[in-house]
Amino acid sequence: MEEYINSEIRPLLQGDGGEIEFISFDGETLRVRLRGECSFCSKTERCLDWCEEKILKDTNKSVKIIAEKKRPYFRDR
Amino acid sequence: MAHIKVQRRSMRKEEYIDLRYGWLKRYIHENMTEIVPVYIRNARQTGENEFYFYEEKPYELKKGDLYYTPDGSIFFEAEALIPEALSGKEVYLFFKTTSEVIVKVNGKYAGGVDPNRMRVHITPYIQNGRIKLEMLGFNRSKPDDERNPETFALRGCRQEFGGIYLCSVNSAVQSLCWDLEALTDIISSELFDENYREQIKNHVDAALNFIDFDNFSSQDAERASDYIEKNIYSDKTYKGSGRVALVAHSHLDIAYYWRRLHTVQKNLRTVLIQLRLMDKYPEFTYCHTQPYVYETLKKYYPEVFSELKESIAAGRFEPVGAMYVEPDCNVPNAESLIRQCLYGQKFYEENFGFIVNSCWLPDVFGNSWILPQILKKSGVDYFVSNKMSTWNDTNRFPHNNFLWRGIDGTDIYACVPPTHFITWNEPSQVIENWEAFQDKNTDTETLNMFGYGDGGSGVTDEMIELMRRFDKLSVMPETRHIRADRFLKENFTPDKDFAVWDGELYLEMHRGTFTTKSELKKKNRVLEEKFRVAELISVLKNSDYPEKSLRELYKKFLLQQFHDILPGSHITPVYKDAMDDLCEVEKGLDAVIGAGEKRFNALNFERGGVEFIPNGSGEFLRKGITGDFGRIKADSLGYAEIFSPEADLSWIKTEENKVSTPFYDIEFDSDGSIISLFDKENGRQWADGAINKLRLYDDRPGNYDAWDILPDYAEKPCEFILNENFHLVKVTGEAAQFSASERTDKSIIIKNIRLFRTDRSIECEINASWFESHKLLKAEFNANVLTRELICDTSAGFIRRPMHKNTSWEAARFECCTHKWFDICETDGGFAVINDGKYGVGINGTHITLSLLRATERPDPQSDIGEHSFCYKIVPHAGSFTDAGINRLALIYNSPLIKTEENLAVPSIYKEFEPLYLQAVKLGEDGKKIICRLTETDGRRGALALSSEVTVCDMLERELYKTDKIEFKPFEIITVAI
Repeated sequence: MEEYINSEIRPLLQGDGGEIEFISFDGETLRVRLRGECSFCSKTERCLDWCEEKILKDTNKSVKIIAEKKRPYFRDR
Repeated sequence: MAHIKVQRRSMRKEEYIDLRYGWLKRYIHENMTEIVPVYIRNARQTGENEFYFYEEKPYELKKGDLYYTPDGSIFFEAEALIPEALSGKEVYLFFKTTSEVIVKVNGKYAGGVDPNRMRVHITPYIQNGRIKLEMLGFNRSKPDDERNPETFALRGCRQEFGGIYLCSVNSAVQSLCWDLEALTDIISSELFDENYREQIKNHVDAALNFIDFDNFSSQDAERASDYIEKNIYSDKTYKGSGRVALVAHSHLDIAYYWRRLHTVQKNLRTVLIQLRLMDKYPEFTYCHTQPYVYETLKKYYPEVFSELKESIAAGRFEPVGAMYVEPDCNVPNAESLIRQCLYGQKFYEENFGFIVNSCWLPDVFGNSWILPQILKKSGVDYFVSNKMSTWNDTNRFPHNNFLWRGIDGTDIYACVPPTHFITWNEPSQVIENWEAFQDKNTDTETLNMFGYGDGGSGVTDEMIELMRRFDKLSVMPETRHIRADRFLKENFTPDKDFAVWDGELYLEMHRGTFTTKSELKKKNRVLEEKFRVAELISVLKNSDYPEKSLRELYKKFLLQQFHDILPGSHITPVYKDAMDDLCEVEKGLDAVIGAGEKRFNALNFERGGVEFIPNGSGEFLRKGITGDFGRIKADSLGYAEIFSPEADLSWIKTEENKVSTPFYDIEFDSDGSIISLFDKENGRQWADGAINKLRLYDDRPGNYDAWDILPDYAEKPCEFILNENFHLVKVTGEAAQFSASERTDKSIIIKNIRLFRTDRSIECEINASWFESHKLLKAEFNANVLTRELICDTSAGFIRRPMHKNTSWEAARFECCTHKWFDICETDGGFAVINDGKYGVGINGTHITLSLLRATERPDPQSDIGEHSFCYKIVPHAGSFTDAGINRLALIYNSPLIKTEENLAVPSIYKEFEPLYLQAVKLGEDGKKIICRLTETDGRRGALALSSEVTVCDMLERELYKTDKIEFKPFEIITVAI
């Protein structure tokens, strides 16, 4: 899953100035860290839903993504 | 008695005006008819005009569906009949989106929508009452959307589709809205007279009172407009002053929050929008920079390029800016800047039949002192750049229309407009420009650029409509909408008394861009030299010159010098693209240079001393390459002799951290920094504190993370932990290597220090495993030199920068750009530091620092993370830096001997160019001449007596005169054809 996130999902989010970092995966729950533009996006849930759909389509795994946002210090109010 | 502040809680008149203005906008679009069905295919752009599709076939997108994907593009398709309600009316396509969309109707490019505009006029493209719609959208995520709050609210990688519509426009309402846009801006701006604003407010309120919003009719809007005409536009009581030239443009970063490949479509959309505005508004003219983006338009969208050419011929669309792209103007060297002009102007000439006489760089982060000469010799008479006036953080740049005097004394007309390069023609922006204009005494107009940018987009209908209203508003300055070239030609005339700015155009901001993305800078340095060598060798080989491939490689390289690529201010994929492109360029150059067993000196002066000779089996590992240090001797443009090392190792003596060489008695600290550096030859101590001490600082400049270093960085030092004590690693007959390392909890920095038997240099190689966050790594040099000037290399001469902080101007220059070297010196001796790819130098009194690495997070959270390997060397010297030949030493350090097999035949005249530096040798663009570029770098005057005639040319390789004697002045760059 970590390799999948890094190779398939990460470049897409990076393309919009975002960043996703794999934290853990227990077979059902995928924990990630969102940085860059993703860390202060107001539409994150939509994007994560799409990621879950893509993961299901690409890997046949049904996952629930739980994301923590790490904002850059100057946006961390 | 308690003070009670009186607060008005009831609605103010201006608030009610704004409310009604908002209501009125709801009536602009009429007969809204949703186009259904709309089909889409999701894609990801993989090339300049290549896409990977996520679905085999298009599927229907319905209102309320989520659409777009991260980094996604969408191909839209739809067909529709024009509804009866729109029969006989002008028909528009309406699409509210934060994405950028190119619109084709019935196979023709009709225009574009983006966050700044929601409709496209499609009447001219309707056929038999039907339309076939094809659209290409790119979902951008870009900070400048914030300028339009309506579409900003929609932004995100996944957006909710609100439908695409056909509609008509209620012209009375639309016109009134444009009136209100201008008038509400005046009401809210303190730049206008208070009484005038009050009067306007009352009149606008009265005008809006004609409209019954419970029972709206167009006639009410017309009555409101009539009222405004009679009571506001006809009233000339209040007089404005000033003269403002309004020039339309769109700033288009070829990479930034998007990859370069996306710029192809951003440019198409931008160009289309301007062409369609020209169809509608006969007075509208627009200027557009960067031949590179014209090139992509020609390649991928020839029909639009053809239309563009017609518009250019008609004087409407105006190419400006001689440079191929808008490059960074700090880090690229002189030859790169010359090629930016050469290839840019060449494109314009070949495709449009003319060259341009402007350099248009609104957004670059400061401008090197070497530019005026390069521009003037490239057919450019006018320099335009905005940043210094609007972004300086300490001092207000004192001029807007002035003469800029270059390092060699060349003057060029310069325009640093008083306000930002992205404005949208609000009356307050225009008057702000006039108020801020500091050269009113020159009897010139002030330049106000308007049009949306960073990612293109440009002018809107509204901006033009606002301009049309300026003449009606007596309080406005006198404005005229003109072409850029006309503004420049009519205002910058010899009869005017312009102030002279003699020096670099230093930007008091973005000082981190000399250092951010270290590997880009390193590659830039290496490839600038490899281009020099590849072209030289290609000429000397006297066989087929790979003209086409070298030019294509050069152009690809020049793209990477764009002002949001090379400076490091971009997102992660832009960095990857740039490094891939640079590696491809390097591979191409290596193939041209070839290989062999002979080692050739590509410099046009004799070289000697100790150099690193890669050999695959040597004693030393330097920047990952195995080799030996050896004494060499090579003639100017000749083959090198490499001497066998001495067997005797007694030249160096070590006792704990004390080391004695033929040149120095040195005491090192345990971290490898130098505590004492006694020069035996010159009998002096060079250390006044630590020399080559690594310093780590907390580096948090705020929102402009990748761009800025703040002046107080030195107040936030971070501790290193000593990882490995200073120790001797290896001694040969020529060199000795010592090592020490320091670490943090995330990174390890290994410092390899090299001393030499026959060379005064002290080399330091840094190998860093760098995983920091918001840190700045510097090497500090505290030399025992009494001077107030730091001398920095510009790549074509040197600049002296004050080291004190007597005034705010000097204090603001605490971090500057240097090229291959910097030096501090007294009359009879000095201390130089020569580097192989660093550009940032910190000045804090006598503490000079070379900036090595940063770790920024915005726009790229991965910036600079990873492994780094680079070198610099310390050269204490007798005499001045010119006596010591520091520039030549720096050129040698950055121009390793070239391995070649062939016996290259060097024409004798090449050797006659010394003492000038042979900066470039290439086949002329005409395929006939050999072009040589000669640069005076030491600030000397003199003459070359040549054995045969050469033709002196300008930098566009246009012939000027023939001569066999070339007189040169300090810092002059001379182009000759043989």
